[in-house]
Amino acid sequence: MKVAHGKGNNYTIIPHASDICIEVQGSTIKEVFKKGAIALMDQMISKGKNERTIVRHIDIKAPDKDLLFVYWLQEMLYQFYVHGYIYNRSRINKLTETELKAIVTFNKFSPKKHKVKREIKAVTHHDVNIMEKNNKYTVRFVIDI
Amino acid sequence: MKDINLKQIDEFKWELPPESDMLVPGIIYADKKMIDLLQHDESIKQVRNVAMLPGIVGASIAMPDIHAGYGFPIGGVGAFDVENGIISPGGVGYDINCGVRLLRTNISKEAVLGGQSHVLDALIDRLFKNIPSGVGSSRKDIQFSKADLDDIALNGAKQVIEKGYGFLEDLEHIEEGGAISGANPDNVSKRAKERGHDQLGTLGSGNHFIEVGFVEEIYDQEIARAFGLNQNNIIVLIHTGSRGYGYQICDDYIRLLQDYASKQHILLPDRQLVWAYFSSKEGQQYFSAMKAAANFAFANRQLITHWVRESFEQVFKERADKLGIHIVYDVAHNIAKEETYLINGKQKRVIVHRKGATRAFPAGHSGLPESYLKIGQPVLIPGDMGRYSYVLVGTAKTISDTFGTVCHGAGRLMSRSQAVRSSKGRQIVNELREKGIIVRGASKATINEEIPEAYKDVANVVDIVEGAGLAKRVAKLHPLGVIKG
Repeated sequence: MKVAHGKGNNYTIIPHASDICIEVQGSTIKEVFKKGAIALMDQMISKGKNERTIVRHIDIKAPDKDLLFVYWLQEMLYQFYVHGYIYNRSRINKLTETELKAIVTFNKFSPKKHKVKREIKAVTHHDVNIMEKNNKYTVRFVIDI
Repeated sequence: MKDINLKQIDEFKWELPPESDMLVPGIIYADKKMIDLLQHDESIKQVRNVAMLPGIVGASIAMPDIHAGYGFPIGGVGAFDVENGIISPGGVGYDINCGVRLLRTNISKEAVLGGQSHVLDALIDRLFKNIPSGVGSSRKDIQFSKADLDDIALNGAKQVIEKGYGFLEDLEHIEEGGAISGANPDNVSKRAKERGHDQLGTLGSGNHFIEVGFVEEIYDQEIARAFGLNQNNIIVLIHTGSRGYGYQICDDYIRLLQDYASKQHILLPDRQLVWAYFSSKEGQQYFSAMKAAANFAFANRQLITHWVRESFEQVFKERADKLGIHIVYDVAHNIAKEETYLINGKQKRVIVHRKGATRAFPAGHSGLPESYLKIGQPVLIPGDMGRYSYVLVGTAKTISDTFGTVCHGAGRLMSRSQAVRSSKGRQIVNELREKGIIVRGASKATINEEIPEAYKDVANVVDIVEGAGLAKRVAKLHPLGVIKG
């Protein structure tokens, strides 16, 4: 299976018939959540210079951890499309099976500073399953282009 | 995945016999070569999953452009009894009322290509300038308020026509007259309205496009004439949908119905196949929000049509009506519709889910505008940007066999990353220019992902649909210029 690696090996692109499947790995679940957000943004926007930063508190609830991951990424997509906020980094203060609280630092989108690579319609729920093996967490998610 | 047990019915029709929890069989329209490729594809499993949903009527159907989707396969059709059946956002898709609009003109191909290609270049440049396409692009001269957005959700294309973006006669050749009744903007979330507000009047990217082409070949002169299509005349295809408004509605209701599934203890073979009983409060909420998104998409394609006309006027220095720029048809390929079919000798009301599948009503159907009542509905099947597209007409066999539905396009052959690898070192735009096709895109990545060879040959897909008797070829369209977001 041919794969491609993105942004400093933070994530891997897995072949998918019509859209884009991303795999992220981390030694903690928090790391997986952060890398997922970085991968999502990297598929959409190139990094800029001297970007303005904004800090927001993000609070998400979901029925289970897999959906929490999906809702987290959907929140990042919403923040970009409605407010022009590009995920930069975060401090996750609470992460349970059903709740996430984080302080997220965003960069403000500027057409002069950022090059748009592609539009992402949605983060799908397709086959999202955070797995743990040998103290490593892995999750794949598919973005609808 | 365990071996697929498909039974061949005829040259173009295959059955997945009911097994396990399937309530009805699966029916796949394909040729042998396609079936061999599908044996290892997730899409057949998705056909099977759909056949398990409560209240499904007839069969879980797949068109020859079938490929794996989220919940339903792309190219999937499923009809459910309105009384005891379900409705599912996975059977419509994120891009609610993604669809195609075909415009015809009186302009000859020679007027655009004759002499030097300056006219075509000027036209494509003007379209690219006038029609917002990529992420973050919008026209500064249009302002829609939140109240306007709710009116558009209710009234669709008519709402923007009344603000000066087109002609009332345009509505006759849009599915449902440009608005599906029963939309409720109160069932659309604040987030969906926020996402949709700045994206109304934009093309979007991915596989969305505007294509200027010409009628290359006519297969049925009488029908083509009725559709207003003349050989060698310029046409325009517009492919886009409900943008962030629709995507967010789908997201919102998948979430709502996940909770519904959890409370009702419903086991789902696929999270994206969440559903609610059509007659339930949740089912009706989704349906009314879906209609709002559908109407947003009709309005979106109407705005783009206005700017296409404007672009032609600027280049040809002539009014759009003098140039004969009229809508042939506008039809959705991601939608759920309440329709009536004869099932076991009785008229039955069903919810037909079309997920990457196009309505194709035959002559005489009451759902058609008067001008097409004796002819049948134009069915618009876009191919890739390097080859051709087709206009078909629906036949009576769609009513008896496929809930009035046929395919919607070519279907992908290569993944996006494969397409990008395949385009490495190549100048795709130059390659297409050498073939006489100008491409303007907001993003090089999108153009590389959308290379012609990433798609199946749409002619093969149309061969199967025509061979199965579901639709007839009317005309073949050839691209000259393509705008991508």
